[in-house]
Amino acid sequence: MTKRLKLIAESISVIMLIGVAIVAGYIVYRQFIQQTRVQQVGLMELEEQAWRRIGEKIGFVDGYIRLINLTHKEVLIILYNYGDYDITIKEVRIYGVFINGSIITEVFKLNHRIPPGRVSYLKLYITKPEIGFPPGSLVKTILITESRRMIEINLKVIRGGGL
Amino acid sequence: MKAISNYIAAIITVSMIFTSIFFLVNTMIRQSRLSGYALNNMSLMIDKARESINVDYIVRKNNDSWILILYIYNRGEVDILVNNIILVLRNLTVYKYNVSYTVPLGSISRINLTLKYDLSEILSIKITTLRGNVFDILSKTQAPIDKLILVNTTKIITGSAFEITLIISNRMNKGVIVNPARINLSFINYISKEYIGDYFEQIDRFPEDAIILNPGSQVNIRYVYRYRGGLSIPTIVDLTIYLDLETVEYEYLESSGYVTYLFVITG
Repeated sequence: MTKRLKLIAESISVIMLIGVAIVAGYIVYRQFIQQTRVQQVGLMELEEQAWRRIGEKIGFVDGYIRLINLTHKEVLIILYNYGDYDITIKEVRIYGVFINGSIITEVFKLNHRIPPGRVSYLKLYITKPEIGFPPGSLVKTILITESRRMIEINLKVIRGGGL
Repeated sequence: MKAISNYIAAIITVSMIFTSIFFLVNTMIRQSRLSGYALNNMSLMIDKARESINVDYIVRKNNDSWILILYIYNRGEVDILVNNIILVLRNLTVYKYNVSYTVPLGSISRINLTLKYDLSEILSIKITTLRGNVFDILSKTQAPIDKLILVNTTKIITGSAFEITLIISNRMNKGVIVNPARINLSFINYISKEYIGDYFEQIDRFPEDAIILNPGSQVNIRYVYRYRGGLSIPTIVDLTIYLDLETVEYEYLESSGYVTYLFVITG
């Protein structure tokens, strides 16, 4: 009788141990899979950024600021996307001269998409009398793309009547 | 019982090993694709840096439109594909011409463009290549043939002779045949822009015959003219020259130059 009881008790303990082992093993396994997946996703994200960084190429073709009158100024920037990815210009920062002679930054927020292999131009209008550009000078301008890339260009200031 | 738990442990271990190997192989494949792309881009960038051209332009009037003829000489180390011509007018209107001209190594390509607007309206002309280079057409430093015109006097009276010296230098890597008889000099009234060539006669020209201008060398061509008289005082005279050239490989190349305020007629 006692021998039989001992056998039952032993098999119960073995089953419990197996159960614990299975659960623990499963948890370890799940954890491993989770970990590798997180690593993989992180790596893919980094890789995607690397692809974009290599494939995004943009060239500055030409750019002008035309002084129409004291208030109106027309800005033209021609860009050539010769890379493999779309490039979206998010911000244009133009450095002008303020009334008292200090430097002022004119910031344009925009969403100008240039497909690969395309020459595209963007036209901006400044209608502020207090910001000025000396004719014949070069104006430093910074373009910021969606991928946080900064492109520094120089715009030529020309006089032109009309309007 | 023990055997079952061993099996389960073995299955879990094997699946973990396979997952690891799959991710490892996957990462390796992706990495090699990325490095291949990077290498390809690097070689493209090197090719871009090897693109080099000499460019010249000439303008002809055709009824009510202008024809702009571009001569592109490829002096670089790779073939060039010109894919965009961009014109900017003074009122900042942009005209884009999508073209596709291949300029092989060491040869001259000619591109014709018909313009419907006045030429004085043009602010800049740029061309782009497939590899991403941007070249300025109007920049004089990029011309294949460099021209310089000098005159020995700035004031002309009736009956007097004067010398015009034309210095032509070859910036290309191949010889050019310069024939002084095929160089056309025309005198223009600075104010009215009309041709006044009939008031001047050519007395002498040196050299007389065609010469071959070797790469990197230059030639001075001297013209002696006499003013016959007949123009009002003072008339400011401009000069345009048209060079009608051929390379030693029988490629056609035109070039033009313009001098404002060449001299003033004072008597």
